[in-house]
Amino acid sequence: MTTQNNKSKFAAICEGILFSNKKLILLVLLVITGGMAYYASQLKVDAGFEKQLPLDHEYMKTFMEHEKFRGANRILVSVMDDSGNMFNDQFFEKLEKVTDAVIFIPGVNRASVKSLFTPNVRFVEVVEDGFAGGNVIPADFSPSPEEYETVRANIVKAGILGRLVAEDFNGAMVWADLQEINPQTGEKIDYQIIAKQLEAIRTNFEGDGQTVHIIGFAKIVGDIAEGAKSVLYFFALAILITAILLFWYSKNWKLTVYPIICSLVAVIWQMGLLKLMGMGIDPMNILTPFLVFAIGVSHGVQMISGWTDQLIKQPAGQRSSDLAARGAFCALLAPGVIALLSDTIGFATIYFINIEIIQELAITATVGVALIIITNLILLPLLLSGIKLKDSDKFCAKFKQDQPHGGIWKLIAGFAKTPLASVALLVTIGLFAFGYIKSQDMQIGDSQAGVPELRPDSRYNQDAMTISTEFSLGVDMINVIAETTPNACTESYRAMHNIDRFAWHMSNVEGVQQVITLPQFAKIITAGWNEGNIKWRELSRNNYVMRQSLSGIETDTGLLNQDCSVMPITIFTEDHKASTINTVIAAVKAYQKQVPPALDDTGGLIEGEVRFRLATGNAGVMASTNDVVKGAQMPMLIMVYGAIILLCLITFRSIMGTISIVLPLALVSLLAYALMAFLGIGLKVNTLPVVALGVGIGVDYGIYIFSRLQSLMKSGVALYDAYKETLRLTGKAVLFTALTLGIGVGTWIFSDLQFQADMGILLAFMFILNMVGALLLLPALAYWLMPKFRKGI
Amino acid sequence: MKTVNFKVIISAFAMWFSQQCLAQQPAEVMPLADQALVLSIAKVGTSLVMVGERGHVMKSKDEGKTWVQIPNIPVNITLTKVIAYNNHVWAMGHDAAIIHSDDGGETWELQFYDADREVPLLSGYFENEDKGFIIGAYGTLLSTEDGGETWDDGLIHDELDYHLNDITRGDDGNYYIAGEAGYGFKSMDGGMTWTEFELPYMGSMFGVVTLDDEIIMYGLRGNLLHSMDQGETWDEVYTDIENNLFGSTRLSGDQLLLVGANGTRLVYNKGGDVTIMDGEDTGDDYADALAISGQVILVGETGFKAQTIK
Repeated sequence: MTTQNNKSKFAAICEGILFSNKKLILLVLLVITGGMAYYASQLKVDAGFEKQLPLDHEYMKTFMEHEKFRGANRILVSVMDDSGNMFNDQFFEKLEKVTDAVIFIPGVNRASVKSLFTPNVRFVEVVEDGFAGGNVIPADFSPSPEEYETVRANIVKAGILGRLVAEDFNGAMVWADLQEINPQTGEKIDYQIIAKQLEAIRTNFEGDGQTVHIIGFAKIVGDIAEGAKSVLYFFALAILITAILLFWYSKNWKLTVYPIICSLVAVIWQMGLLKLMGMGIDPMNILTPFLVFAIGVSHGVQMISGWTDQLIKQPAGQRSSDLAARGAFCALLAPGVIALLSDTIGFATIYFINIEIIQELAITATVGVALIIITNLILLPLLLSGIKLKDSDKFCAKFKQDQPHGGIWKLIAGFAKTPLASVALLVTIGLFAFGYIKSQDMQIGDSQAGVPELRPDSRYNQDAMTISTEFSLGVDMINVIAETTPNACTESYRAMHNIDRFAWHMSNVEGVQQVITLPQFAKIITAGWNEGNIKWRELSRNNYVMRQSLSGIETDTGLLNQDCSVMPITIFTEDHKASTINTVIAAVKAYQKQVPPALDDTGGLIEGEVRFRLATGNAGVMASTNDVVKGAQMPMLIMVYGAIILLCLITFRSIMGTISIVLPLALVSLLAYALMAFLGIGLKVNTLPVVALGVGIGVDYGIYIFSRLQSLMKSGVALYDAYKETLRLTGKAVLFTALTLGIGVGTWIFSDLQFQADMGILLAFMFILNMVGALLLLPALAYWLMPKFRKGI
Repeated sequence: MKTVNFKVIISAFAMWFSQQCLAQQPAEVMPLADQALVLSIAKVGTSLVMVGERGHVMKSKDEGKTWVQIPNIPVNITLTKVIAYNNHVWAMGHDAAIIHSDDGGETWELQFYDADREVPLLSGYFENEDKGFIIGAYGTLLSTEDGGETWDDGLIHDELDYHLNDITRGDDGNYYIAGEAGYGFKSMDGGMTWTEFELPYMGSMFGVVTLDDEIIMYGLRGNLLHSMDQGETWDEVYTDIENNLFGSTRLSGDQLLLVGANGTRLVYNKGGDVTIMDGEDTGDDYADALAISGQVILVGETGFKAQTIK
């Protein structure tokens, strides 16, 4: 028997050790599984804002240095009145209560909360003998038509129309910034709890004439985590689909259950290990366990089909499950380990991208895939060796009947010779060109206005839409941090002038809604000190005038720091589409280049010089993330492919064979990018690893097929016949696995989460196309690249 | 040690040089200039010219529908007022800057500039191509007899250093100046001598305008006064608003439009009858207005806006 002959020494030794200590090993594995199941059950969903930040990036250095001016992790709660007019008792009562409720959410930076009812929102008005100012809602406010008229006028004077109050006076908003570490307890805040509290605000105050709209990172996390619960159902559904198809394939319920159990054991161990490593699972990584399951099933199917094959080959009447399991183990150990190692190394390389959430994913996936080596290459054959078939001859006969000899398999085998090999080559070249051109359209970052992880008609995205239409300022902003010399805002006209000039340049950039910065306020206040005469809206060269003007501006306005050496320029953008952000960032960079700050000989800023640093604010964070994602994409692919190529070279000792395995994968990766462009899925932190994961799954197919093909060809069989024989067993398993998993992830299209639906489409695409590539393109490439095997030896 | 000193000198020179540069930098042409703060608008021949912050000067040849920002304006500080006589246009503003154009606002040169004085110039009047007055903060009064080639630089009064906010010349040839804190000035001899007078209202007046023999002043917190006797006596006109009034334009022989803070637009009928103009109130501050072809062009903190008068 071929496989017996090819048995390597190493595999034989392993076989001896494992199978002779079968019971002990099974017991140990059972105990470990029990322990891991305990830990896995304690695994918590763990989301975080900061772990999405690329800390090495230049902008994020600014972000970490100027904590005060981050403004990225903001919550907006708006209360809208159905009548279109907010000046009624019930609205004001609700707005006050909502403000209080937001203030008391743990983790909210209380000084940052802004609403009509907070004391940091003030108006200024000019009177004969100077200035009058006060809270927008007077301290002695008691609802009456006159008082409402006063409040309405104060809102206009305070300049908060369109920001804290809707343009048409039909609603108002509460702003709050979150701190990731709760200053009261010193503990990390739990985003899901915050999301629940926000949702409670909605439940308590919505209805009866008012609606409540909530947006912000915390709410996104909450909604995604909520939607991620349905991932469990889809998980269950996928297992069910796999089981049904596996039963149809294997015709035996034990052969159906074992691979599924083994794959699930890998998932349990993976989750248990995560808990033991002190990690949680991020809502955005919640699909990784499923990937591990899928890879497990893929290897499991190879194992059971290998086992069945061994069984069939045994003489009738003396068939032994144990011998078949040993045979299958020895035959599949090498390709299985190689395939899984290349997955493992491939996933591990993702770790080099310095964004914590991606590193978490790298760890989660790496650990999970490595565990499959134990569960599906050791546990599964041990389980199979214990199978007692009632009538093994009948089983084999039934299975043999089913063996692929039909037209479709002949057709597939035809790709190992001309003319189909030529056709495949031409189509491949065409697809490469198509994929390359189309993939250029792929956006880095978000390509849509809302939150792409959630459905466009989800409550969150509708809320975001409402807020952006009713209020003139969106939630998307880039803060450029102006660093200058101490006390510059009052002592240096030049510094203020420079900041003002920069802000004006930014106002003129396409996609910018509004720019807010201290010099603007200084101008307005200077006019205020001159009886509100609009002609005095100019920066004063007089330090005393500037001190007078800015004396009332506290640091909690977020316009300046304590010694006034740092002033942010807040650029509100129309949306957070990558194209919008890129335009603004490019404009800032062009300005930085055009007007570099003059330095003295020690490298410090000369008085009045300003350094404009990118960037904080949510869109600033996105800009840096987009940068890193863009930069990481190529190195990540190179590392993933590098690992695969290296392992294939070592294992198969054939350059041409390696090319035959890797080229189809590369084509599918490229087409996956093209599909993303076509579907409008942007490449971002959450989608960056998908292609790497897809490659990891796809490479298994190629390795199993080539390993079998090569061993047959080395024993002297001609390429075409060898491929036909490969298809009979390995090919059938590959086709079956890909279809099964493709259907399983395909059901995700119905998920509540847009993110999961997108991933479903992408993964199904990659499962199936990788299979097609391995079955049709690999033999065609082998035909062209390894001509000496066309005829047998 | 010598090299160190040399460096200090260099950096000191660099500082001085950059300050000098800043003192008088040309305005930048930017796409949104006509949507930034605009403070004054004037008719120049068949065209319109408006000026505003950052040295923005814009010209329209289609009655204010579209505007083109004029390049190479010598200053980039806030321009507060534009005035014209025939093809001659003067604009003035902060840093005591006066710029002048003799081709209807196409090209401009600097006539006067003194940043150190920290005085903004706020208004002016030319009775012909040569003779004119420009006034500003702290009683500043500049006068010229040669179209601004040379300026007689002085103060309007020895003791009173109130801001001078606006100046106009009546049909009788008399000059009237609206000032700070209820003070006004007039000259019955073509600007040779100026006499002060006090208004019954103590607040500042930001504008002065005449309708035949009626003189109207308007300003702080919606206050409006008029005089029928060459400024001898003044009567307050009740307006029912508390917003500052900044600018005006003549709608017809006996009707004015007054504009001001928070979207204020008042129609003033000769004799003192005031109606608040209907229409959308955006809350923008209006600084000035100009009536043309049955419309008014309103200018202010968000640039320009055309509205039809009813």
